[in-house]
Amino acid sequence: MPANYVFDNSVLLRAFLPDRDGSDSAKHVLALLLAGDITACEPKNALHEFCGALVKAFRKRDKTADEAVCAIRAFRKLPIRYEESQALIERASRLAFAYAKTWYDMYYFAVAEQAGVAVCTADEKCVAGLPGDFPCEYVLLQDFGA
Amino acid sequence: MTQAATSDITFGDSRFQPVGGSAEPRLPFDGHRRARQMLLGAAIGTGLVLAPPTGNVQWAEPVRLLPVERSSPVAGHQPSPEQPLARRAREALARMSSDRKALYEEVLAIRDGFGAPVDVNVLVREMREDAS
Repeated sequence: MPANYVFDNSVLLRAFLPDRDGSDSAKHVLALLLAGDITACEPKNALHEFCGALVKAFRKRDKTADEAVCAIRAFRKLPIRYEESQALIERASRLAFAYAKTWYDMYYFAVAEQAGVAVCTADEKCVAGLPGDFPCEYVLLQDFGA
Repeated sequence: MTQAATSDITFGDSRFQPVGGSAEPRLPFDGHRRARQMLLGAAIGTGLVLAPPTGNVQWAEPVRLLPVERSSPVAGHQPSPEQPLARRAREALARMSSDRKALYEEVLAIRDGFGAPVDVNVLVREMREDAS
């Protein structure tokens, strides 16, 4: 039974865009995901976030729309299960209020909490200041698989 | 008085031992000599050569690095261990289906073709601000 994770877009985008930190680890995560060694479930919003961020990055670099579409198509082929429900949206809202975090960050945690899995993020800001009794598990990309 | 005191100084006198350095006595103007050596070394390193007979300054050909053959492994040397995640990824790639491998290569080609690195964390947060 492969381990399941929720990868936020700081991880997913690093497989498609070069970043000075963590791009190699994201590449390794991609390999594990495509081989079926791990599985990924994401909030539906992650797909929209991915597209928004990728198009923004491609436009800044004067890439073409076709290039952006090509990247989005490749992303859509990844074996990711998407989750969305009213309960998850509300839970993310409550987590955002309780822990002074953005709803976007907490949506990933709400999905992870429901699935009983950990969130993997490359954005330390996302998990900074979370208390020890925070109800969801998480792992930083730099520690993933260590 | 001063001269008498100086004549009493001998090498090995604990009052005049250098602290934290060589016990060798230093020659007069030793600092200048060292500075000259350093300047000469720097000049040679950058291709500046002094022609001895005339003292004229000439620019020599730039120093070219000779190709160096990779040395054989040193006995007892252990290469740095592969990170567990990298090893798992390498093993995963080895048994990945061809269509998944093609997708993997496609994603990496997109990333490699993008150009200079971006700060993905900042990008995501900016995008969220744009959306809100």
